[in-house]
Amino acid sequence: MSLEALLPSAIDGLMLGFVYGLAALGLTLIFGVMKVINLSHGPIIALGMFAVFILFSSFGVNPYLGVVAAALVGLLLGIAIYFVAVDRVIDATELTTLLATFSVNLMIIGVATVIFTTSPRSIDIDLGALRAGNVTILGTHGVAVAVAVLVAAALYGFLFRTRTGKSIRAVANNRAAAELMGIDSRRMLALAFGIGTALAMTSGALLATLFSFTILSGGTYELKSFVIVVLGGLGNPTGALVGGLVIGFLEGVLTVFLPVAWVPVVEYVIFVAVLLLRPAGLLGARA
Amino acid sequence: MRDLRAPFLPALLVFIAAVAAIPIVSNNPSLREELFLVLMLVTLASSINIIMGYTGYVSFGHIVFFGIGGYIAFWLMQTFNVHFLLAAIASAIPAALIAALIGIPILRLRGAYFALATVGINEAMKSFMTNFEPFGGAIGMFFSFSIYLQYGGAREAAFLAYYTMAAIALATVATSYVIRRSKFGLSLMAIREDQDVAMLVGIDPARAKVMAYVISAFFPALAGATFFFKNGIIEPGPAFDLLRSIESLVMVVLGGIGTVAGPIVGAALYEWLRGFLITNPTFANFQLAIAGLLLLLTVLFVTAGLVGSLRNRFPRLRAYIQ
Amino acid sequence: MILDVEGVTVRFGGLVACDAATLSVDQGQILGLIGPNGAGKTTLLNAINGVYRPLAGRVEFRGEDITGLRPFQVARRGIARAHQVVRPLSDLSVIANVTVGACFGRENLGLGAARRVAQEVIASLGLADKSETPAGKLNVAQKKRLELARALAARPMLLLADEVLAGLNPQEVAEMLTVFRTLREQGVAVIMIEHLMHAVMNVCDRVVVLDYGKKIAEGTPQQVSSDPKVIEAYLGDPKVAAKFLEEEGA
Ligand SMILES: Nc1ncnc2c1ncn2[C@@H]1O[C@H](COP(=O)(O)OP(=O)(O)OP(=O)(O)O)[C@@H](O)[C@H]1O
Ligand SMILES: [Mg+2]
Repeated sequence: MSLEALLPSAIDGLMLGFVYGLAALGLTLIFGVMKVINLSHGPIIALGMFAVFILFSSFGVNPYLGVVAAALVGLLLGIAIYFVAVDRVIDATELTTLLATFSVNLMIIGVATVIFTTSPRSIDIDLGALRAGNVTILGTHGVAVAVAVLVAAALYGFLFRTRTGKSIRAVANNRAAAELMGIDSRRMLALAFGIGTALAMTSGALLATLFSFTILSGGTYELKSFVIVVLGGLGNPTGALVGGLVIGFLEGVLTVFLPVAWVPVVEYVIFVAVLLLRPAGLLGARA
Repeated sequence: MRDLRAPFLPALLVFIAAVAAIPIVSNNPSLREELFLVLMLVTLASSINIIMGYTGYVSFGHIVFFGIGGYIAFWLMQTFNVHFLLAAIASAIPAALIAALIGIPILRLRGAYFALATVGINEAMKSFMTNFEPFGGAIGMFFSFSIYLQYGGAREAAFLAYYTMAAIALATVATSYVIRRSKFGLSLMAIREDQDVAMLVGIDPARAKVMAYVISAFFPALAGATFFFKNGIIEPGPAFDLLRSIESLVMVVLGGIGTVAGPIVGAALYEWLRGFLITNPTFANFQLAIAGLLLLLTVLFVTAGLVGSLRNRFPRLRAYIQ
Repeated sequence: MILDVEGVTVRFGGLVACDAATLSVDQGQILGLIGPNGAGKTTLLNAINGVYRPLAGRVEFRGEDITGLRPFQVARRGIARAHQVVRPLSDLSVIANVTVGACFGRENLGLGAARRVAQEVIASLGLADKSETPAGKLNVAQKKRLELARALAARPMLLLADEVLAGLNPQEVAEMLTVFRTLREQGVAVIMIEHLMHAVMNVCDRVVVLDYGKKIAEGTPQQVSSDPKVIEAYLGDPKVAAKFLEEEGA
């Protein structure tokens, strides 16, 4: 590929980065609040994809309304997952919570493959495109970015402006102290898990408007979310958004210089290097 | 108490060997295939238990050593026609060395950070192999039939692989037991409980952890070499299969983390259950979901796993079941 | 002197937790290390056994410079530590906890020998009937004894005991003091941090007083307890302090 392709690739990648960042935001929020790495993240992203798909193809619901529905379903699903699988082991070792959330992963994938099979699906929407020189921005991508930015802004507003949001942050900071202040920490944890899940589903829903997918597609995005979250610092929401942009940009730009198959190698090497050299993330304090 | 201890290890090894001999004696190839897999899983689970159960480091991407062993051995056999047994050993040594090199930096990480790093390393290795043309890239490598001739044919090669896997499983279990009863094992458990205290009583945690990691990498590499030798084909996906990695962890937890017998029980149970679910018409479709449900129930209610719960419930058993 | 600490300074950011602290102990001597909360006592022990690397100063143990060695290297030279905040190895049995102490320290015993030592120590500290109990299940007083047992099992030449008496009832305190006296007879050196004044007066040969990381007094328990600087450091007002010390009774 030539350098001509650099600008369009970079822009494309950056735009995708917003959607990646949204998924990573969900993962990092859950980790930040309760130190749980949610291994059901991938299947939940896939559920977001299928929520939009089913609503659209079976009931003719506009995909962007479907995104809203996916978010709501995600919130409830997350709260349910919290009480079923996480609440009892919230203070156990990381192995326990990893396996508890992984068991949810197995259950979702197990049931969903029976219902949806693993054949690829896609949603056909055409919102036109914006052209300038050799840069083409598809309408669907533009809307996805706008939705992602909106959702992220809403989350920040919620966490920093509302009483409940502040309570969640208090619980994240110090659960015992928060309880002494009269905060029902269990409810806040459940809510945080619900919001994290809603973010993952929203991101999956948006991805469904961009690419084709199967019920197993979530796995790839889950790993990507890990990379992004570590890049931005585990538990750091702003870091996740920035990390999403960095990874999206890298993916866009690297494909200009490298065969596509080498991109994940670079990503994972960066991932391990960041863990070793700056475990608090690129934005965090030095190790 | 200690001196009255039952001969647990010999009994366990004889038991495993006897079970492994069944398909040979009864000349039952399909049972042999099944047990081959179980022995392999026993090896993986017992190895992971050394670093995860004894030492407290959740090596999520541990399968990376299985893949590395498999790839190096396969390459040696295919390209240089090296004898399988030699190739297996020649692959496990570099795998152990790689474990030492990786282990020195990543074992400084704690908790979730370590777990994530091991996932990253496995995925990096998988995507690297996908691009590494000398090892066949995305397509991988496969044997021509003539490779098996030096072992007397494909059937004989399958037997050789089976015997080897049984020997590897026995060696892994024996090593796991010896470590658990040794001073080295005690240092690992002290590190698991509180690394700072371990350091204050005179344990060099960095050294002990790297040693544990190297040992726990060695046997999976041998198992990988054997598995792909028998398979005749190696690809990045199956070699660095994160799901299999996590499944091995599940087996450890199911059977009883930190015990010697736990990973064996867990591996056998998990495989038996999988076989049962797949062949049962009502459950076949929901195999994964049921596995997930059982895992969740274990994690929530039987935290110590089967062997661990037994030991907790009946303290007298502690002398007999490790 | 078995241990010489010379001008050790430890800082946390802007806070100077130990400010050129100097002290020494001899074989068979019990040195009391006292001072108000946050004076830097625990930090000084941490600097001695390598948890923190001092910014300046020197730690010499049996004639060898051990400044900046890692904690396990220090432990192997014969210095053991009992923590202020108990840190049992919760999932391991009491006997295993103490065996850990015996195994890896100065004598580098084998597992069997270490276990025998551990059994003796456990018995001498009255934990024999808890031998197989997971350490996490002990009550606080038992955990304190376990903490000391683990340290003693290493058969150290120098014991760093950080508030091992806190939270014990008078009977238990008396028993612990007997343990310390026995150690002294065996020629072990002890540095004990203690807030219980009467215990300090009772067993310590000498006392060093820290305040804001600085040594403000040193001498026999009697000398120190009548030192106005010490009394002031402790309670702000010398008169109140004197009265308080009288009541506590030596
Ligand atoms: N790891 C650390 N990081 C930052 N500050 C610390 C650290 N450890 C101790 N400090 C600070 O150093 C000072 C000395 O603490 P230290 O624990 O040594 O006091 P102490 O004399 O043992 O007090 P106490 O009698 O309460 O145990 C305190 O102000 C404490 O807050
Ligand atoms: Mg202190």
